[in-house]
Amino acid sequence: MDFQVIGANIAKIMSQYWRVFLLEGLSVTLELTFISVLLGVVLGTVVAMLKMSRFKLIRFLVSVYVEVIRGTPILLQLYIFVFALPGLVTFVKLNYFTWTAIALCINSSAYVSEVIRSGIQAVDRGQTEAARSLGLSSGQTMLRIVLPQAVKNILPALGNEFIMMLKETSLASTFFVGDLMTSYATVRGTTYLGFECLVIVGCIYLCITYPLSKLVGLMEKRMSGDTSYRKRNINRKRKLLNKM
Amino acid sequence: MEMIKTVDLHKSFGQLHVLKGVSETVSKGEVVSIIGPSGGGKSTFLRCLNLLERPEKGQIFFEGNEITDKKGNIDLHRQKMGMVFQHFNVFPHLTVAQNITLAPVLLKKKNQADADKMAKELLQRVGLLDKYDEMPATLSGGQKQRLAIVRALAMEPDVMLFDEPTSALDPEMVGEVLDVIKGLVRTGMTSVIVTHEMRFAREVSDRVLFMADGIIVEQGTPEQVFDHPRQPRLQDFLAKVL
Amino acid sequence: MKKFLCMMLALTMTATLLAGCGAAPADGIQTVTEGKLTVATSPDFAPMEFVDASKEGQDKFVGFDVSLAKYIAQELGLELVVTPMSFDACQTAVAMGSVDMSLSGFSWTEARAENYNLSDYYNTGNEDAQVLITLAANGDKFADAGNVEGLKVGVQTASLQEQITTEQLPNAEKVVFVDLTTALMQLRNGDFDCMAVAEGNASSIIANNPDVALTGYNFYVDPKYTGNVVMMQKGADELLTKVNEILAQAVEQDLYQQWYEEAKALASSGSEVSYDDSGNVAQ
Repeated sequence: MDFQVIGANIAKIMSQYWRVFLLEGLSVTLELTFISVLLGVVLGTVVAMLKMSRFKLIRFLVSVYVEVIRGTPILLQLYIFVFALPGLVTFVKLNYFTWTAIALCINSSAYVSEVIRSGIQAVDRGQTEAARSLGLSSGQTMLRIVLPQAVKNILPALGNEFIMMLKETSLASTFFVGDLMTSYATVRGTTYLGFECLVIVGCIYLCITYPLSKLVGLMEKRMSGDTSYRKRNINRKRKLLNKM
Repeated sequence: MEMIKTVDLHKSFGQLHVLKGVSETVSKGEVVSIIGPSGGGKSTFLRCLNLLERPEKGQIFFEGNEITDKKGNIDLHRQKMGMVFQHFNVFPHLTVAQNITLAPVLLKKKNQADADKMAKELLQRVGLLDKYDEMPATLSGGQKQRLAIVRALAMEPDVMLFDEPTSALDPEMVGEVLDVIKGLVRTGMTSVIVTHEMRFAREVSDRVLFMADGIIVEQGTPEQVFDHPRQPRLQDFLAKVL
Repeated sequence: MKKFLCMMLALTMTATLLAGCGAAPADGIQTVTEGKLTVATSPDFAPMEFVDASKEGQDKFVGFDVSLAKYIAQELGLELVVTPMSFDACQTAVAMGSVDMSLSGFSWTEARAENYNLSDYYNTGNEDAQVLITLAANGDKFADAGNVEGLKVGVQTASLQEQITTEQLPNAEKVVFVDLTTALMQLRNGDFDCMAVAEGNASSIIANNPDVALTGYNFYVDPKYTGNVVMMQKGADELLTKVNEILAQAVEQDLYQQWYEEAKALASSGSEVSYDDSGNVAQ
């Protein structure tokens, strides 16, 4: 491999196609990731709650949902959502982007629901008992006592889910939704400079995922242990007051 | 007047039959201590009283209402039954003051300003006023348990349930918590206390129950139970712990 | 679990059926979207179909097949909607009735003919020729490929090239690849000595990769395999008849050569960057 040639080719491709990679590819990838994870969190929270339901049937159905989604490849789910579902759901016309976004949301929800459920279950049972013994309802207990404490377990894991999803969206390029891997496919389809395009796309992915994973690491450190961020903040304020 | 009455309570955890028919009555203003060997069903019985454990069989009446009736709203009854746990279970994400005011404000017993004022008074009473704005993580075990007690008191309960309140404490902190409980029962608060502190049980109780193997083996005044035990099971137990 | 899987399967099949049928209109061709001709293509295959990055929306899809698709739509009185997806997905989309047809440089194969309605051939002029390419450094080492000992030839999986390589270079070892660009990397890595491609692709590749050259070896291509076909759902017979009529008409009007030249010019301009006086890229 001649690295000088590759370097020159990369420069050539970037000078001509930077818009395709950065304006189109990157923005679609980020958009798709944000939508999937955000709606995935909402749906995943509901799924997690249902999974902890009192009713056996609901618990069963929800675990089937989670297992089917976690047990099949995303690509397969994308095919089903893009090709099979529009035939069933004939009353709405959605484009491929929307269908892939829905598929990714659903996929994300299954993973997120497990993250949320384990985050909730990691909160000491005594907390629930204490809240219930004061007369709080199960809903109030969840909202006021359990979830705020579960967040510190959940948030870093959600950060990781975001990074995962950012990479998983590349599978949506099967349907040329315009994400980074679609940019790769279209540019290499015209230039036949595949390796160079891969290097470019790889660098862009890394530029996003590396800082993000650092951020998640920081978050994990901050939220672990008893010394919560908030407490330290209060102490800092107090120290400032003492100085004055 | 009857505050709590239980009729033939049974509770199992899987194969383990923990309560084998417990019928007991606690009167208003009475202080009842429950002693006995571990695994004898003391804590389970106590936790049944506010339905943290649901008995499979039997009834529980609180202030004349049957709370084991599934149609009733247990949350309303629990508001009037304060509970203190072995492991404190203070809310670590809330400040000391918020721990106290959360339930009264949320359950519409008080507005925030009144609740804050009450929190200050309660903290003053247990010597924690200087911790008002702190997070619970900065408190010692004894301080956490004192906080847990006033958190329960903030709901102005009719009865207090104590589940081994000093078992998880370092020895030097047991005294400060027991002092708070003593102060409380002196005000006439109806209390049910599961404890391993025999001297304390003898000092504060109107009545002592000895539970073993899922039943109340013997009961009576502290003098009867501690000085003149009749059942060999109780004599045996006392010989070991005293 | 089993029950659920069965249900999923049933759902999928129902979906396929539902997508496949529907109310037939009184006259004309029934399409997925009324008034529109939805065509699947995998626009990563210059000059047959590729993306012109300087354009937006539907305009950015260009190439020979897109020109042809436009013509077909126009003759059917429909508006063309190009739906891009991967080559594999194109076939699934047709099979499931998500699109009306696919033009994506499909060659005729027996297996495809069994499962799809395939149109008559359309010729791009240069597409008929199938050649071997190799690294320019190899010179004419493989010009007589049939007589080279231990020759390794890269072929696209399930392609026409795979078939003719088997038939005409029986002594060569075949190495299967999935897409052309990856194959180029493999060629450079030495995974195989040369690769079998259509001449049209060969010229696009060589234009952009000076280290690649023709070997000088040309396959003999049976007339049966020349050209490409339009892929439609099995049973879409009325559409098939119309498309064949339109293809015949295009031949009569001699449009193919023109479309192909246009596409080729556009494709090779794609990677040539020109600079203005201040050294910036000219648009």
